[in-house]
Amino acid sequence: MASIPSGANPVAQPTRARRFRFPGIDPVLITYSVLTLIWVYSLIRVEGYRTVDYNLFTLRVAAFLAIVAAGQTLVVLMGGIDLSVASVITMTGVVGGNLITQVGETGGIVLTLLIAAIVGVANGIGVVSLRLPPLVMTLASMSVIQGGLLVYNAGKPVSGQSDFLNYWALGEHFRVPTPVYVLGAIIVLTMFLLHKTSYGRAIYAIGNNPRAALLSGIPIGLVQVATYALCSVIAGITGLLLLGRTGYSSKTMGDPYLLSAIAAVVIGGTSILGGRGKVIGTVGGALVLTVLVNLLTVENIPEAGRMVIQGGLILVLLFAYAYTDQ
Amino acid sequence: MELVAQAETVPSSSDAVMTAQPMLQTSGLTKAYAGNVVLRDVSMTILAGEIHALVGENGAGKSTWINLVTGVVRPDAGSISIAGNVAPHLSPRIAEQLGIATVHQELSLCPHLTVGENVFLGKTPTRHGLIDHDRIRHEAERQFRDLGVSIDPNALAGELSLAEQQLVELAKALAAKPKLLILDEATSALDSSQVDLLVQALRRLRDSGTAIVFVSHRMEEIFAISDRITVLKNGEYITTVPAAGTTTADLVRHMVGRDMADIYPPKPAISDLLAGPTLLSVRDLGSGKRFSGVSFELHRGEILGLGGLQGQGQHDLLAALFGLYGLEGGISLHGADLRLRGPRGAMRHRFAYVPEDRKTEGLIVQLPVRENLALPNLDQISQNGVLSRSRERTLVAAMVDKLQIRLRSPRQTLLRLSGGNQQKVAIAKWLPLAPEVYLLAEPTRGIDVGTKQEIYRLMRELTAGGAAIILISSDTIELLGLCDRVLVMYERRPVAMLSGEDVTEENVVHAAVVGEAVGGATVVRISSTATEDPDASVATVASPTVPPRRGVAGMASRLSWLRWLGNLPRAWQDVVPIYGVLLVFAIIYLYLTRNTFGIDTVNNLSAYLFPLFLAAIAQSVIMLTGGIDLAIGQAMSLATVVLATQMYDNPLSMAKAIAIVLIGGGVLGAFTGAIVTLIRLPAIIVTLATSFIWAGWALFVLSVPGGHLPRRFATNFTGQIGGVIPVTLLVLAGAILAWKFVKSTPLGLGIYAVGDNPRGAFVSGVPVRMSRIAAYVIAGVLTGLAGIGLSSYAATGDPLIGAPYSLASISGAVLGGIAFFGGQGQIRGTIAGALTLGLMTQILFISGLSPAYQRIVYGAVLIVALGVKAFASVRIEEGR
Repeated sequence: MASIPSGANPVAQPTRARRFRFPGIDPVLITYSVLTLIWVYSLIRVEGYRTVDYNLFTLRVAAFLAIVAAGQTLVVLMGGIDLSVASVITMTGVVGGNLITQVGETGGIVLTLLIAAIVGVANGIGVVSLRLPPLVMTLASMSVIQGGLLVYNAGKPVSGQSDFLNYWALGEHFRVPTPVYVLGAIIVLTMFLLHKTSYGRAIYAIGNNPRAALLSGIPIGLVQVATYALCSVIAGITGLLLLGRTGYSSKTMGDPYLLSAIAAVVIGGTSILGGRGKVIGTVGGALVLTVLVNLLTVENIPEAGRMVIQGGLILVLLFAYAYTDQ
Repeated sequence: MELVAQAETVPSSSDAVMTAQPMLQTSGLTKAYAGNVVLRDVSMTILAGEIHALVGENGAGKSTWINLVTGVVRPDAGSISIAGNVAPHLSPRIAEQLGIATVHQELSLCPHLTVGENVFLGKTPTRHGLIDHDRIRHEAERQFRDLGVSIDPNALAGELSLAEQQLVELAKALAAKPKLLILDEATSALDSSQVDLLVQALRRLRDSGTAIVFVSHRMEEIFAISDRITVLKNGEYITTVPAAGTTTADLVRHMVGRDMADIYPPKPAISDLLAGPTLLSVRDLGSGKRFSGVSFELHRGEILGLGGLQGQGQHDLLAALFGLYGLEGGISLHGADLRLRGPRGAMRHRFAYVPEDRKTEGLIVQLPVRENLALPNLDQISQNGVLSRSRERTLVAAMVDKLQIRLRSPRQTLLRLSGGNQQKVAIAKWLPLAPEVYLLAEPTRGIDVGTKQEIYRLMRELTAGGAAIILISSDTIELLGLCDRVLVMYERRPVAMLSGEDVTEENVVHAAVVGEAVGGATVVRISSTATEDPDASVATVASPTVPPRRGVAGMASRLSWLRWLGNLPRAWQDVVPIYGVLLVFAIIYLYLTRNTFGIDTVNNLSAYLFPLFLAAIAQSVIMLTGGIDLAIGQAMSLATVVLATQMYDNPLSMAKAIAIVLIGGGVLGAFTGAIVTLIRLPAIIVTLATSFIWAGWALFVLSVPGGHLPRRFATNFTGQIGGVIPVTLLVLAGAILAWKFVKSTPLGLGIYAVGDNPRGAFVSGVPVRMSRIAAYVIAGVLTGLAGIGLSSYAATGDPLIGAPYSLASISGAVLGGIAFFGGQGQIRGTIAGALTLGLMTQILFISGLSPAYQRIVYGAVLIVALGVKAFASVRIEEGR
């Protein structure tokens, strides 16, 4: 009917391109194909990679990234983004270290994750009630957290020894590194939530069309706040694991994870616009990044080249995913 | 077909038609969407110097035909000839060049552009390459004068009433001096005097030889205006008849294929209905400026229609009843007072809402049918939040069966279903809720006849089961055929309630266009003991018409500063808050530096802030088109290392290095813009990827800070001219002037238009893709300039130095009022935003506050400032 469609409508989604799509190809297939290619290539090129131990080691490293990326996936599926995950990782590492020393293992861990949840809730409230674009809100909270941390302990590294965390970061069970089990648990949890609960249906609905979701009775405010909270808690788990890995936390420990987590999500076939994607794809994306970086490092490609290749890979995969069926 | 031969004998008042030339011929035109054929083998001819009406029910294919003929979409088969020449490839631009102009149903106006700019969008008059604003104003005024209306060409299009907007859309089409004018539902919001003006204009055009195609639902108008009438039904051509000698009944029979009595299910006796139990009672209901004074009693088994011109508050009323807007007045359900809190609250009270636009509001087309059907019923198919697949399957199967939804499997994506089946899904999903009140907005829009009938039958089944329906339909025939009663709205207030026998086209249309009830029809009375007496014929004149609000007129608000704010010219409204904050920071800064303040302070500040300014302006230009660039900072780093490695201490080398950086910035921008626009990938991730690439490239050029940036260059660039004026300030002023220059060209206007209303810009002939790419190129050059400033301030090349600017530029732009999704905002706002951020950082630094608190304040300011802005704008909107 006669009306001016508003481009500035905060609820309007940028339209997805309508184009020819190859039917029946799941982006996750492409992700894991690329992973296999890179992995096999690295096996061929580097002798040291052919041991089981080395590959298990790679899994361990990838698991840390995959965990935080899984949480990010939930937020992205909902049509948002969380730039504060890196600072949440650092925060939980630093605060966790202190709390564990002061309050004991269990109390420390629980409290730390609670604080992470509060950050997530704050992010959600900013997005829902203040109508801030998620990019801006989580950018702002990232800044506040970074500042808060500096106030908290003036940037000094914090030590917090925890056998529990140590085990889950560095241990092994049936030769499989323990972080992989943590990742497994998180995969099971997120997949269960996304595919078997009303909450998951709400996430996909909001990610595709928040207005229609609202008009179908979905409590979009609550769902968004809950998801940002969940993402932060999962990032907090990563932070605690990182603490467990060395027993120390530093003020930059979370930094590498921000862009990598988003990259893993996108490489894994999840659409940054929301509404499409799978956690298992994100795991594949984390693996791709880890294996790729390992390969490039061993091949002595300088950081410059590594960055260019990563950027190029993202572009190429984006292009490919645009033509797949979802 | 045989139409050309017929043409010679068509009677007309104009001599020209006697030797009528075909102006437009379509032959075998066919179009399908996702496998559903919406137009099949349509051949017809439009002659010069005639007014040719195109009629058909909702979903007959009229809009598709128009889109094909105007080049908005391409046909799957068939050809289009214009003035005798076959047009092989049509696009809106080409169609416009060939002399076709359209008054679109979905307005093509950009709300944040002025009326004048809108009228000439896509064909902006220029003088020496710059937009000729004087000519725009004169021509626009002339168009309006010829039409007989008075609209201010400098008003923002978004602030006009819907009727005025339709008139502007008309003026826009007329300004193109078309040979073929197409009007798609161009009168749906116009009152009778405005329609008269339109008709006069059309007659003048026709007599001068223009061909006119007129699409409308209003039979009266069609017979009053047209020479010939073509009927489409179900995507197929049915017939063309002369207007003279044809009756409405004939036409209706062509349109629906049978008599009205066969289409619509029989209605229950009105006296029985009105004597029956009352379901919903509404007394003096209103919602701010959206509508007011609505009172009625909704009975079980009743279908109540909301009639009136478009935009008179009907849709708002429906939405409000679903809890989407705050309500004033009395509303009770089953006799008990009702408080509606949002859609969930409405659903709990057994209200169901099927919005007008199923593709964007009523359904989630990217999801499978099954999930769409399940979405409002998640509580029923889950236990403690966990879904039960078997319960879902049963429920879905029941819904599909009940409505006879034709699909391959419930797992199918909704997009692949036909319009009719999609609409069935939109309605079916409510059934498990057992709603008592159905709120249906245009429920049969864009559906085929067969499905329509099924839906009509369903409606009566539902009402027979005790529910009631409130219905909006722009198809008068449908309204008459379906509804037991019709409440007609005019100027956002009810003016007539027609019952039973009084529900006739004459009564409905009269009330709609004139704004008062014809004698004999009941008018809604506003009283606390409202009871409806269908036999009373009280002709109460509706309250004096309130002229539609323009902009933000005084509203009684607790925050009186909002009132003052609302009276400012719109262009300044958005930026006042940030300039206010800026003022505060400026005062604090000046206080802190009061002892050392001097020329040097200003110079230093200017050199420090220069990169941020330019980065924020660059980001703003991109965000205006609805895009974003996360790689601006990394491109700046790249610029610094290029300068540091390419520049030597002689003027030629300096000039060369600067040129490389500026041109290179443009090239990088073109690259990004091309990927985003031509390959259509989301800007946010594309620029995430390019941020990696530019960063890596910078590391490649210089792996550590260094290079040989000439000292002279750095000191000169960050120095002063004549010892007084900072060079950076001059360059910044230059950049702003350059942007102003671009803004005053059609390209600049196009950039704003593309972000404001992409589809509207497209159908107006604005080169959408080029505009977007141009924005990225301009931003790229500005980014290069920012990089030059950065390397001068740092006096070195550094591959990592620019990184923080990516996010800072977004902060500055958003703080300054650039809307995140495009089309809104002014660079002057960005300047204030960037300046605020920069001053804040300086203040925190000077005051000795540790970097920790700087970060906290930075984040907090963002949140608070934007939160307040959002809060204030919501308040201003409510008062509109």
